[in-house]
Amino acid sequence: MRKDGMVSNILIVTLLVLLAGCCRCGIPLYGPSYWNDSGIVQGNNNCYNYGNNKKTNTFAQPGRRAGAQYTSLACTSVYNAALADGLTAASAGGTCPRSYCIKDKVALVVAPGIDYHWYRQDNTGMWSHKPGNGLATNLDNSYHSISDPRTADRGAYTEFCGFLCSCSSSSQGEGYENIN
Amino acid sequence: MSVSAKSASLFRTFIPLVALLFVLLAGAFNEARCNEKKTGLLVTIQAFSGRPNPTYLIEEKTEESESFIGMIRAARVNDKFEKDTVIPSILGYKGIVIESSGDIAEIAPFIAVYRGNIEVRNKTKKFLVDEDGALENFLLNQALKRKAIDEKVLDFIRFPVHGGVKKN
Repeated sequence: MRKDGMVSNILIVTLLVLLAGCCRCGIPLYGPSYWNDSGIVQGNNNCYNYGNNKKTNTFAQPGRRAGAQYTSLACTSVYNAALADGLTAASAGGTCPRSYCIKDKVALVVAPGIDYHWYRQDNTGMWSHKPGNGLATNLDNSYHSISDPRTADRGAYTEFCGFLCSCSSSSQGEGYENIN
Repeated sequence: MSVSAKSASLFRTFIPLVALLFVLLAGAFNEARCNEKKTGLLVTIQAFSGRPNPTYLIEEKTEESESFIGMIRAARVNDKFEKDTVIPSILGYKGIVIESSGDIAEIAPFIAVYRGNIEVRNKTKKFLVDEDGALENFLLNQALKRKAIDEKVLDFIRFPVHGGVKKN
C-alpha cells in the first residue's frame, strides 16, 4: 500500500516536471529596443535569433547546433536544418499549438542561392523581423506593418518557404529552441 | 682517427642540428607574421540577413587606400540630408560600412555609404555626397576583385528594394 503511494507520487512529480518543461514556451511581445542596442546584441544576433526570440550572440545558423547545418540556400535545405534544431512544422493550415504547450509561429523566406530570412509572429498577431545585424522592426521594405509575411514587401527574398513553430518566450531573447 | 675523419664526423653531427635550428627559426618567424595584426580599412558589405556579411580589408598605404581617402576628401558636404543614418532599415542590401582599424590619418573610424550618400562618424557626424555612386561602386568592385562577393551576389545587391515577387 505504501509502495503504491510512493510510485504514484513519483509519477505525479515526473508528470509535473514534464509539463513544466513544455509550458515554458510563450509568445513574444514586439520589443525592438532589447535588440537594437547599436552594440553586441544588435551586431551578433540575426533573423534566426530574433525569429526564435533567442539571444546567442553567435549569429545563429539553422542546423548548426544540431550538427546539421543547411547545405544550400534553398527552402528545403534551410527548412530541414531548422527542424533539426527542434523547430516543428506548422499544421497544413499553417497553425501552431495555441493551447497548453503554446508555440510561436515563425516564417522562412529565401533569396534563392543567396540568403535566407525569418519573421516571427508577436502576441498582437502582427509580424516582426530583424534583417541581419540591422534593426529589429515590424515594417516591411515599403514601410508597411506586416500582417502576413507571404504578402509583405520582401525585396529580393522572393521565395516563401513556409511556417514553422518555435518554443519562444514572453521575455525578449529568452526563447527555448536549441539554436547556435 | 685522423683529424680529417674527426672533422667529417663532427660535420655530419652538426648538419642535422643546424637544419633543425633553421626550421625552428623559420617557424617562429612565420608565426610572428601570422599573429601580426593587419591594419587598414575593414570593409563590410551590409547585404545578408541570415548569413554573415561579406568583408575584406584594404591595407594601409596601398593604391586602393589612397584612392578611398582621396574620394572621401573630395566629396562635398550634404547639408540637406535629414535622416539619422544613411543605412536604411530594410531587408536586403543596406550599404557598405568602412571601419578604420589602423592609424590612417584624417579618416574617421566609421564611414557608411549607400546609394549616393556617405556618413562619416567621428566625434561628430556629417553627411557627404557620393557623386554618381563612385565610392560605392569602387568598394563593390574591390569586393569582386578580392572575391569577397561574386556576380550573383552583386545582382542581389542591385535588386530593387521594393516589389519582390511573392511566390508561395
